[in-house]
Amino acid sequence: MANTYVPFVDGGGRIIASDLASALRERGHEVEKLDIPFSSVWHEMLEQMLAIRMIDVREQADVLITIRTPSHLLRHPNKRTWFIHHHRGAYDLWGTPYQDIPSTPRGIAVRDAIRAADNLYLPESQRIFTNSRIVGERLREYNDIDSTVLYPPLGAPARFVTRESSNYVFYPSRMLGHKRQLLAVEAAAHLTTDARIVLAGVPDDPGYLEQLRAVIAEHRLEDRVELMPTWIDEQVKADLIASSMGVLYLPFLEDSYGYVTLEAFHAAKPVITCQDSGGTLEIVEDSANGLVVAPDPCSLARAIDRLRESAEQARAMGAAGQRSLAEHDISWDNVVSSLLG
Amino acid sequence: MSDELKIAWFTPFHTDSAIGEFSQHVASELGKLAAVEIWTSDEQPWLESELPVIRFQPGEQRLAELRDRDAIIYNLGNYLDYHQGIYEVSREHPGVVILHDRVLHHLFADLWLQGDHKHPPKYIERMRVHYGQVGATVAEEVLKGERLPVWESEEVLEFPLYEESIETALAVVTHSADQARDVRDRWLGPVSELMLPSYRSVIERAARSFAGEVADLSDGRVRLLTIGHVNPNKQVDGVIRMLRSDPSLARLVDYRVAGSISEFTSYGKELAQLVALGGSQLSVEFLGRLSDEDLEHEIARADIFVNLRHPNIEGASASLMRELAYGRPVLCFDSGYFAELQRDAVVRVPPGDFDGLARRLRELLENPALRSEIGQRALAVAREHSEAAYARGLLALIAESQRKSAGLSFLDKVGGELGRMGIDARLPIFEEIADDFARVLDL
Amino acid sequence: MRIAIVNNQAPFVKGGAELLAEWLQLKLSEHGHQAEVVRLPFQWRPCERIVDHMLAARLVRVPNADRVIALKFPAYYVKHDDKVLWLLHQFRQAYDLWGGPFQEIPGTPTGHRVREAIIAADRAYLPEAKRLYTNSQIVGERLKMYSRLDSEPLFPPLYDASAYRCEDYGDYFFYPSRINAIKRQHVVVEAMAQLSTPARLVMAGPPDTQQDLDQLLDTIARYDLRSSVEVIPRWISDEEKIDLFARARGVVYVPLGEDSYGYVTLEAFHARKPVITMADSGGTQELVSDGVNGFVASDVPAVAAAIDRLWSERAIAERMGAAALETIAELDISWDRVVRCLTS
Repeated sequence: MANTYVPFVDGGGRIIASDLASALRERGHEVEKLDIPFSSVWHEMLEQMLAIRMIDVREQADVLITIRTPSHLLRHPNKRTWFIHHHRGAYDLWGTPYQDIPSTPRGIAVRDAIRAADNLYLPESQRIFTNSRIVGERLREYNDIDSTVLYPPLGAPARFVTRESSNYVFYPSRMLGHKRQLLAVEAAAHLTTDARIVLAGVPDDPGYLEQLRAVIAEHRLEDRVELMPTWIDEQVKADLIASSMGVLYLPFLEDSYGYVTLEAFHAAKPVITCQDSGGTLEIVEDSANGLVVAPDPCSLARAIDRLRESAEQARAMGAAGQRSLAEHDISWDNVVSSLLG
Repeated sequence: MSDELKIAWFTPFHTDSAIGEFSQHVASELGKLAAVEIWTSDEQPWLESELPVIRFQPGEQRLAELRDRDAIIYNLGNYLDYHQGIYEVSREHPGVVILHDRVLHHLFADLWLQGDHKHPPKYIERMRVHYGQVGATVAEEVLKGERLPVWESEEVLEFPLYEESIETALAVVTHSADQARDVRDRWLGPVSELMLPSYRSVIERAARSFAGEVADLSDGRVRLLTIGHVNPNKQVDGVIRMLRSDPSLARLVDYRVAGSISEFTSYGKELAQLVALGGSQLSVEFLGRLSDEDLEHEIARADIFVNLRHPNIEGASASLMRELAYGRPVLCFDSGYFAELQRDAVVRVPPGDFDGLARRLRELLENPALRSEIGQRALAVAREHSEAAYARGLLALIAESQRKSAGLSFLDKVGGELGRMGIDARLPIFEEIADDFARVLDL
Repeated sequence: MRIAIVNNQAPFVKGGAELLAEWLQLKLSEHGHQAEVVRLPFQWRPCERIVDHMLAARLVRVPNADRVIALKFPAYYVKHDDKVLWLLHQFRQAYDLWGGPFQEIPGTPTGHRVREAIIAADRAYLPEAKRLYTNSQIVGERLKMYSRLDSEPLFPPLYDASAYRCEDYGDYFFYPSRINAIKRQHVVVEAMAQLSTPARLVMAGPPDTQQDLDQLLDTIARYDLRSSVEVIPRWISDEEKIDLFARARGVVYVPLGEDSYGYVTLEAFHARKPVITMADSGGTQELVSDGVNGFVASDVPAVAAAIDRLWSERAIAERMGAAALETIAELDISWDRVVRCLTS
């Protein structure tokens, strides 16, 4: 299994790789993990891409599974790619403030090389999977490549159990702008029931945390909103989900549905998300297994109140959410048989 | 002002230089599209130009200014005295190299085997780098005197050594498609074949000359003319032998050769002999090196140009471009650059086929209308091969090289790393990188 | 600081270097650094691949690391401003093994070019390191001889030396190692056949091949030593190993031409046991001094004599065991020292 990673930075990209390695080993395969250090600095791109091309792992294994870009540049006659995302600065984020490559001749040459490498080397894979439809669509649009969606499951779902619902909704996630915890806090001011909101996660951006606190203070929401601006233990998280009415996941235009969504569904809890949240919409269906609202505080408050007002509905949606996992075949059995098939 | 490209144009620029003349015309045309300066290491007198002309010495501080230029153009030909300074700067400040000759072996042989920077082992080493063990062995034998010097024989086509001059180039210009193909085989960067221009001023002057009266020779012979320094590869001896062997043909023409030739060299003596023993029908005159005005006069009054090259070691033929401007038929061999011209704009025979040449000549002599037709086509070609077209081609190449230079300089960096690692050029890694990764870099 | 330990990765291989890298990572973390192990794939067959991986190592980037500690060829070519080498290996096939049966690189023109590249690259890039440490004097001597570079030995400690104990000086000698031709278990067996005392031998370790094991057992049978020589042909657990060290009279360790002293030697010393080694065992003599903390035997009879001597005179074994501990202290073979050297 080949994965690129950034040393000394914890990232979600590593979780999927180690979960996959475990799943493969549990099914009797021998897995060697190739973790390739990678810097995303634009002017170091070309040499790193060439380095990966020079590395020969053909003798090492029967199958090579590549994950994070540009590990798919590795050569192997039996290569399968589980494509998580492009180097987006060279693709859809080119021309936006998130463009991480300068628009100089050199920068453009690097951008073009990234695209050329993807176009040339992705097709070397016997099978190409993506972790969401959105990413698959981008592969088609930018690289003219077909792929199959293969949803990443949770590594250890057993701890996400169901308990009787209390009166709060829970939003576990790193606290930063595009996760929109602010939306949840503002919604608290419009609640008409006694529903509460619990937010937990490491604040990546201290300024953002200040903003959240300011809004809570301004609208005197201390009783409504509980802020846990820290990393929480997986078990603590599972417990908080278990007793919640439902889970919030409100990112802005994220590619994939997020592990939070899966955690909620494993615990048979409905998910509230926004119309512009992106990947969550691939498995959250409004009124079926959760609620999809417009990204404004009032709409969000109404959704939360709805869960508070009808525990039955909430329970039914939660159960449907659990069934969604099987319906979309979000399982390691599926992942392993797809990747190795 | 800030949008305009700033281009430094390196060239010989003294009044005797044909490449200088080329630069004079093309750089001037380019100067309408960009801010161009001429850089030369020659002393005055220079050719005339409305562009700024800068005199440089290799290694001087002033050259650091080149970093501010958007593009640098280096005109290289096979003569060390004219091009040494230009070549040395081109290694420090990569730019576009225009290869005026197919072969630069003489330049490098002079550079490494004579004068201040003489270092014979370098000759052997570089022959090895470009041509493998075969090249190294040839070089060694030449230096030991066991073999005729490469630069004195046709072998020079197998070891042209132009590769040495473009090692650090960002882009390369050739004047024939054939040479461009050859370069592309050995070099990864952008290559353009641009047509050597026929200068507008020459075309205009030629047009005016039609208006003037040209007195016929009293004996009605048709005037054949060969211009340019009389090197053996111009096959003047072959033409004379051809005429001698066919008195009925010789009787119809007056053949003049307007170019320098030394009557003291063996070739000069050979030619003199051929003419002396030529027989009564033969009318051949060696005019030697003429002044510009006299040469102009000779060209204007010629009916048919004879422009042969065998072997063909030049990149293209400046003399040909001049001849075409006059709208007269040109007799030539079907090789190299001459083979690439539009089919019926010149009269071609297989290289060395003097029987065929005689036949085609007879055809032209018997058919003035045919001569006129061919001449018109020649003039049309001349008009197409304009300085303006060349300048536009250069700008397109500069743009392409700017796009590709990141990739090229990356490969240079990798090459440098491989060099530090002492990786022998024959190890497959170079090809692996070229075959595989070069596509990623659009090279 | 943030430290990346850069090592090779070869498929499904986990040997001494891999263990050392892991231990170093743990020890650096204990000392308050953020340490991660970076593994770069290395493939050396066919020999042209060596060059590919040399370049790959050179082109890879390790972002966010304040320092890189590199252990082996070709990982040590990695480009970084603050690089320290703790050299476990150059590519011996190009150096001291060249011209011998373990050359591995073919003697073809390509093979020669590859070898020249390795030599040139070592000379070009090894000096980039701020500091050059080696895991033994021998490796340092080779580095000096072939690449003209000075270095300092930095001996790799055991992961947890405190686990080793001395319980008794029993009636057996212990030889723990993989069973193969290089470790020369058969030499010890031959020595056992020449004993004049009833000393026993316990050998433990997985055989490289079935043939290796069969040959050893045949030799034991041939010399009729089944009652005095015990073979445990598998990996033994740490507990089993520590226990066997703890009660042995002494330890035998006689590999052919090893680079460094070998963990076995160090383990024996931590268990306060003398080590019997041979003159051509290589790095063991960086720890073992003949007559002080063990014996350096020149031939099989000398190995037998050493075993007999230690079996007959328990006091000598005890004295040498104490001297062994002193050797470790004198050389400061400790993680404190290692971390200090590699992070300063």
